[in-house]
Amino acid sequence: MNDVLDARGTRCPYPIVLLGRTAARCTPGSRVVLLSDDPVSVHDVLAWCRMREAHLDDVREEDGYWRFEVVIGHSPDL
Amino acid sequence: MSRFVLDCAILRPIDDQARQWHAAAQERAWAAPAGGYHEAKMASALLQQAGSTLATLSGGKSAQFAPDIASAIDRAVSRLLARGDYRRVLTTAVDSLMLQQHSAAAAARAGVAHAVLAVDGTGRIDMTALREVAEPSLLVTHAANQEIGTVQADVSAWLAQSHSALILDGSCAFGWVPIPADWSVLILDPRAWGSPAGATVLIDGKTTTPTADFNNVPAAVTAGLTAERWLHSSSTAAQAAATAIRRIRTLIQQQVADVDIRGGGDDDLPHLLSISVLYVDAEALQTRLDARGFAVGSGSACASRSGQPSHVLAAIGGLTSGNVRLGLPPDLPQTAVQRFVADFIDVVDEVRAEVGAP
Repeated sequence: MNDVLDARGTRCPYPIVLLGRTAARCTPGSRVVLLSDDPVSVHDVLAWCRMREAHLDDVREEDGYWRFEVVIGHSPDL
Repeated sequence: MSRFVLDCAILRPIDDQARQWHAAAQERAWAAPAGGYHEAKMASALLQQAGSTLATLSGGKSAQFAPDIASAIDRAVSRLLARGDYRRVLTTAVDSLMLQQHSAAAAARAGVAHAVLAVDGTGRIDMTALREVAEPSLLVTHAANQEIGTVQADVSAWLAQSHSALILDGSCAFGWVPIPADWSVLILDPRAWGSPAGATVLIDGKTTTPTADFNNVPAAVTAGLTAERWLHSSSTAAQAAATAIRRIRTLIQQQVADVDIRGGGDDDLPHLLSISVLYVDAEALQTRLDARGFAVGSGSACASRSGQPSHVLAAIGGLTSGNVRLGLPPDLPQTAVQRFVADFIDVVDEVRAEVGAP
């Protein structure tokens, strides 16, 4: 089951901190869903993935927030 | 505790010499140059001299003055559009928002399309995209980026092939790196080299015309004097800054995990560095460094009045949060560099601990 992190209502750096803390306890290939209404997240989740060797598999704009689906670490599926 | 301003990319503190020159110019050149009496003719002569000096120093043919950089861009774009048959105005995704907005507005007034060119991950113009623009166009961009220090790509071949023209904002590059000579207009904001506000310079690279009347003669005179002084020492300053920036970059990369650093390369402006730190609030970084005696800039949303992150970092895929921007002044002591790095590391550790960074 994917971790779903609800960072709505927080502002940078907290959405990324939440993502980072969760990623630290995940095994490679785990999927994490981050919900954020901070517009900065649109840029910074992608940058975080690049810096932490994760993969942004999907991003979509929902009703007033963004839903990011991130694959942690390297995975045979990538 | 000594205090150092490390936010000198586009503005530099005005020193005592510049202040004295400005005060002297205000005494001698207060009159409007168009007046028909002695003091006005003196002001007019000093204005012409300032224009001639700045044109010569820049490798151009003549100089005009505008009250500020926004009006300089308006004027440069409008005049070139009126002179030539350009089908569109181009800016890049990493040009300042002010440059993009004023270029677009001038294009709209002239009934000419405006387009924004994509850039690569370093902030240089996507040359494949540029080469697809075959019609005569007016490219308005920076000689070097004021946030990440990237020196812009060489567009001379495209200019010739497409019969296009170039307006360059060379303010933050002036004196630090050679500016390529294929521009039609070079815009220089003298605040970048420590001159007072009030007289932005437009250097014409193609035509020789007298400097038009401009009422803030004291600012224009000071711009010429400070430019001459700056260029006298700028190559030494550039070498020293490059050494300092490389040292800062190396030490931070070695001692701080999860940083995204832009600038400090051989092809970049020697005095700029953009450091984005993961899991850190930039406003906290900036405030704590300020308390420790270091004034730094930031491209993060939380440290900006607009609440928007740096569009430059966003365009190149950089980390926008936790961002600190350095623009070193000339003559920064080595001890300041060492102290800055030590304080930066301390402050990052403090802020990361407070936010519970992983």
